Amino acid sequence: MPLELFLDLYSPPCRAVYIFARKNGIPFELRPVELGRGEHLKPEFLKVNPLGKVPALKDGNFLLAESVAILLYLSRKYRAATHWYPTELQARARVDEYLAWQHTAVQLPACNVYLCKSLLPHFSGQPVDPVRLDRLLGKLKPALQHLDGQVLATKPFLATEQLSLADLMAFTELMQPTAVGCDIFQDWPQLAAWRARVEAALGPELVQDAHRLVLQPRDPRDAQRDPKLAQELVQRLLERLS
Amino acid sequence: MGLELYLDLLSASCRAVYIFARKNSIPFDFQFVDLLKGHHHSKEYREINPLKKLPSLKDGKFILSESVAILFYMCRKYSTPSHWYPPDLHTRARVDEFMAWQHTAIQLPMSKILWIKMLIPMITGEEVPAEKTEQMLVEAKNNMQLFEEKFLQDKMFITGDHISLADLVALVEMMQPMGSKYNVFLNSSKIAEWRMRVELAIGSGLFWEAHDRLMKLAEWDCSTLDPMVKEKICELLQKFK
Repeated sequence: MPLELFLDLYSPPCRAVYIFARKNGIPFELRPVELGRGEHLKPEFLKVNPLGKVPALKDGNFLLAESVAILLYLSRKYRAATHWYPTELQARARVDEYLAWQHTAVQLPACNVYLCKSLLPHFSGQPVDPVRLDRLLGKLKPALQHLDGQVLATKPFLATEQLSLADLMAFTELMQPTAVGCDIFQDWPQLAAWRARVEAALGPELVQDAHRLVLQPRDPRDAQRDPKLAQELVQRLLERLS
Repeated sequence: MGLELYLDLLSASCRAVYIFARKNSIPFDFQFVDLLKGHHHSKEYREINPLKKLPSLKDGKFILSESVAILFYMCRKYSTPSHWYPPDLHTRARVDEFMAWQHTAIQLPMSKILWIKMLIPMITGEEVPAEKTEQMLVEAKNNMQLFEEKFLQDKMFITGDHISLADLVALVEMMQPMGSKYNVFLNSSKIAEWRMRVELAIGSGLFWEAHDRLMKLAEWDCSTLDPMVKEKICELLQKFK
């Protein structure tokens, strides 16, 4: 049984895992999990990941959740090139530092911008609330300032002189609001230059392929498919984004 | 200049780093950065960590933040016993999985309980609305259940028979609400037993020494609170209303 990756390419951590596996020639079977249909909460998927989140990995009998853990597992098992997760002590620590920090500093606020700009309007049928959007963009700003002004001031990539898992995670995360029309790179020149570097290093075709879904406007008919689910989702989104 | 660790043991992340260093006899200078006095905002500390967060590690010219990164760094540099971060592919992945999940699933809710139940009322004189408090407690409880069902299961420790970084981080975070006399371990005997095992594996003396400042938080005279910190806490209250 080959490696199975349970992914929804709307999700940045899923894209990171997808790009990494493809870039490193790791053979896998893609098992799509549609978050928009609540598939991550269904019993069948909970057997794979009781935490109810994507991405998830199944390697024979071995089940693994959490994108950071999955990326590290794949790096080790398939002996990825060392620039992804350097062996030198301090370089490795820098990658670990970013991968830990990003959960609350980048992923959370970037995701909230995306939810406000794309998912909430899609499921509620209401236009984007500009006040809420502005506030949420404000929450992402400190991280962008730190990356642009401090981290990238002294080196071309986030952890070291070369592309690493840190850049991969950050890239797919920061593409999330950008893909739906909130270009968070526009005010930050170092970050914009870094983005171009990462895209070139990963390969524009692979990046495009991974981001195909999130770059497309959502079909309004999808939201009407299950009005009850849509209503529940809107309720949860409003709580989360308040 | 030896290893310096910038810590305030009020913070769970700091306690994990402190306990690990002490348990493994890693020599370091304890640089106390008093969160209650707002010292993490000081000019001196901002030079160490512009993000103004604790803990930080300084090893010669090398400065590192994020407790998870610091723990991995110390494991590697000081070649600590392998049970802390097992080399086996699957076992190591299990530790990584927990270390990733805990940021939002355990650390955040546990920290919020302390804020909601104690720090906010103590400092602002106002209670957080009961509905929000209840929501927070339910979230924490649900995640404790996930912890038990997925990470702990019927094992002695998360990776099996020995304590690892995952148990250390899990426990110090679950201890956070104790600062407000709220004991999350009462909900599950399995977790309560695991808590005891982890405490014993660390050593009760070291464990309780590390938690002393947290346990005495209720006695703290908050009139000495830095006004800037007080302002931030009042802002936090608004978020919960």
